Amino acid sequence: MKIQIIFICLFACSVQPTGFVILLNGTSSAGKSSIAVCLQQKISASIVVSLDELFWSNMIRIAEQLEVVDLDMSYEQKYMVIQNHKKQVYQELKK
Amino acid sequence: MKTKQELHQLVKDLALQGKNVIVDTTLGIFDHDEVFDFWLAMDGIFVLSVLVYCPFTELLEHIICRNYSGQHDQERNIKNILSQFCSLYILARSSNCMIDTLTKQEVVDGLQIARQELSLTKSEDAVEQTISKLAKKYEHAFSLSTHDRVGIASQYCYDLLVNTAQYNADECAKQIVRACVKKITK
Repeated sequence: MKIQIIFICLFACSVQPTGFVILLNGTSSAGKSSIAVCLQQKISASIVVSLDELFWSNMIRIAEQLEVVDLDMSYEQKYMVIQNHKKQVYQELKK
Repeated sequence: MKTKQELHQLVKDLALQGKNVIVDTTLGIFDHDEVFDFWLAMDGIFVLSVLVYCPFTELLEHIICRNYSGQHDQERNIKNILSQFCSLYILARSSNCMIDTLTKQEVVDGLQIARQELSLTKSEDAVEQTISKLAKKYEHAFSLSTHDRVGIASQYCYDLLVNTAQYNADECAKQIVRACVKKITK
């Protein structure tokens, strides 16, 4: 009985509840981010991850290091410049 | 954190830590493998996949509103979004998979809006070159040279489609929560 209780306690401690993932895919400007905000309010322990934002933040960081973009450019300007230097920036990103 | 594969791993790690992760992304635009890679990375995790669909004409309205909002971080490249539409949607081969229709006139009007928008920042030649490429892309993707109206379908499979022209963000979120509960309790 004692061994069983210890085993159950150990099992309970080792099992961490896994969360779930809601993938919102669609074109830019389709309304994904607004839905993500509403979902976050409705689902407990939820977090919004904007993959493209994270990905482009990295691309911009590398482009700044490579001096492909100017620091005082707007996000949109940097994004457009990087589109033209995508190969170069992506190669650096993969290093 | 560098490549998209690593970002997918981040999503999985957060889920394994017990977080419910809402992933806001545009997958499968340049490369179909991106979608496959995402599913591969999510092995063992419960995923509800949702297509956030905005019809062509309404999508253009959203872009114009954003680009004239005065907020630079809200601005979007109209050419890229029109290209994304061609990558995420295909010509519907049967009525079963059709999610909407697209007319030749809608595309012609849309390209005219894009022409005006692009001419603010690009030379006339560059604009015409871009518009010509986009027109060919739409003709090819949706057979618009031979049809005035076609049915469109999604390029990829999803658990749910929400139409942001029909429902507001809160209503779409409610539909997603309902679908999530349904899939979990299946």
